[in-house]
Amino acid sequence: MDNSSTRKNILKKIREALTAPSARLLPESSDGLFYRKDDRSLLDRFCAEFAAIDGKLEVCREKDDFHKKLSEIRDENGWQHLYCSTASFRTDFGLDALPFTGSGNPESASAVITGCECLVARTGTIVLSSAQEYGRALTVYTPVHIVVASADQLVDDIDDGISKIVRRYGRKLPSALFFASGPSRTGDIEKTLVKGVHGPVQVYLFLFAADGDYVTDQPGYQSKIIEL
Amino acid sequence: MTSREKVFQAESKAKAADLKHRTIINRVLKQSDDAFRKGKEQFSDLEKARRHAANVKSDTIARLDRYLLEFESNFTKAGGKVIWAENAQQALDAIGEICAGKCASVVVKSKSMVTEEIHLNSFLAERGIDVVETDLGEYIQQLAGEPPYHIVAPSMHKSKEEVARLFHEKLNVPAGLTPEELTLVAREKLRQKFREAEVGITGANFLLADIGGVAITENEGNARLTTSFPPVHIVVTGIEKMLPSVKDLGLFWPLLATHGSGQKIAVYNSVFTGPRKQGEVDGPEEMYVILLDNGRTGILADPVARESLHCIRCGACLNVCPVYKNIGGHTYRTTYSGPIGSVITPYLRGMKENKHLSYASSLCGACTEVCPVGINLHGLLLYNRRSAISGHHGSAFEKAAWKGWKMASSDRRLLDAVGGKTKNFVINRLFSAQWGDHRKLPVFAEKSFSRQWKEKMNQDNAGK
Repeated sequence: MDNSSTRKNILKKIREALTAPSARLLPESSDGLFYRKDDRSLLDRFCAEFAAIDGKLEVCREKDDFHKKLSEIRDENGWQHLYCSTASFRTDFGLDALPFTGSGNPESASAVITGCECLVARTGTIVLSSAQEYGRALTVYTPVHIVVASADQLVDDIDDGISKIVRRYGRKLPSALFFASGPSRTGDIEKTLVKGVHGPVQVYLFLFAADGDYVTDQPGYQSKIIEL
Repeated sequence: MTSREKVFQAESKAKAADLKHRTIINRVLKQSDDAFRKGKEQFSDLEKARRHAANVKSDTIARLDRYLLEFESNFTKAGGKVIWAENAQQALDAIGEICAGKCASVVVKSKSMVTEEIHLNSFLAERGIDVVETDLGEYIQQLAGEPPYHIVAPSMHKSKEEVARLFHEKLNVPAGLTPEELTLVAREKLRQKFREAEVGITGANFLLADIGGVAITENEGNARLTTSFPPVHIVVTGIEKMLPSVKDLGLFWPLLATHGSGQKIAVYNSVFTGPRKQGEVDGPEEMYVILLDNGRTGILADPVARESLHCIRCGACLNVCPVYKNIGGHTYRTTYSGPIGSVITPYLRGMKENKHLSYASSLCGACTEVCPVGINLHGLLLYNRRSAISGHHGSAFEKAAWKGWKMASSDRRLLDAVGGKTKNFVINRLFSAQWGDHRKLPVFAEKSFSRQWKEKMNQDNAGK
């Protein structure tokens, strides 16, 4: 496909067009602060936002909390098999100790368990990337997505999430980055909200918070810190 | 009057009287409006955010060639391929060639107005390729055989009962399904298609020059699936979608979500920097970005109209437009409807055939007021009208009528000399057809004010 003459033509047209300066000049811009200030902690903000977009959050202190909670939720929902592709992840979080998780067949999984790159507090966003073992399809194709993360992965806003990724990967960015905020949704049928269109119908986040962190009681989300 | 204008006049007249249509649209737009009001609350100063966004787009467009080259360089380094297309046919031919190379029989696509603009679906269908719209709203429109009604909410004019009837007729599912059940039907049908397709085609919400990235925004997840399973990913995009940096997304993603659907941020905002990398577990082996001109350099060449290239296709101007609300998206018979469509279509498709859309406006300015990137939309509609007249696309009769009006109105003695009955007769003769059946023409007094005043003053003076 010899595209070079087309390319030259378009660039030429653009350069010729731009010899005429723009008619309207806008005043110089700003300090880059556009969003409402919020004095709550990153953790509190994330919890509130994530709940507001129908994410399901469980705050955990220890692996045992996590196992207990995961089993309860699995029973509530009647899930048969939870898939987790990351061997190291399964070790770190002791997933192999649970009888119903494994590396089996992702197609038949009721839910997939993964980590994430980071969490954005202001918008309740979970950042994922194709550089991780879950790749592109798994976290959007499986009906339920369960994320396990720690509170030190929290950042303030989308900008900070992007900066974190850029610092982490430098020139070798993953081929795909996903900023996922809540379960899949649509209003295409007479503005009726329906969840789980193509992506997951539920998104669970198990958030490991350190002893120093606390979650204050806010309307709209459950925070059960299980004391051992 | 061109034939397109005649059709427009007839169809808009009919649609404006269609109360069923108006009821649904008003209800849907009220919901959009309520959501928008809520979504705006995330901004401490929305006007500041809009001004900044306008500046970013303005600077980008002012150096568009530079940013396009930067994008191309970075995207190519990551293994992607850039194809430049001056017009729709070149874009279609490139896509056709890629699909033929893959012996593609199924193509999945996510929502993209640019692919509507180039009429991609019929082009591929003619080549025996099954093109599947995967966005629920577009899927509904595809089943109905209709183009999208709105640039963001393609099926917003259809009631849930209509959609249920459509699915029952076309997909052989039971009648009277709820929106949840209908969505599940679509989900099941489409899930298989993502796995089967040889090629996935998307648009782009933003191009990112510094990382050679393509940013795609959605709520359903179909764009993610379109770009996960098929071995080839083709992005079709206008050249104006450029942003200088991935860092600009921290502002543009929330602006787009707020103005498009009243959300703080859309459910899935993805950034693609190329095909699957070594070591990644899945993703397309090939990724193409087709940079489409198709009249955009024409808009760029006009320093006044140029700012319409800032558009991020949020749909907010459609939602607030009183004309759009009454005549609906299909009546425009253009790819891009509403105020932005009326502004750019004369440049993309010719002034003569499309100027009437710039006249179909009360210039209320709601569009300009709501635009997240500060485009002076109603000012540009007025500018289009002026361009149409100076380009001699106006009617000779109208030209003569205005000349006569100007002459008469500037002549005080003439206006005083002629009585109300004559004035009413002349105005009626000249304008009643255009004024229409639903409005009354103004009625001139028997004696003009100026005459009455003179007579009164004479009386008073005589009385003293």
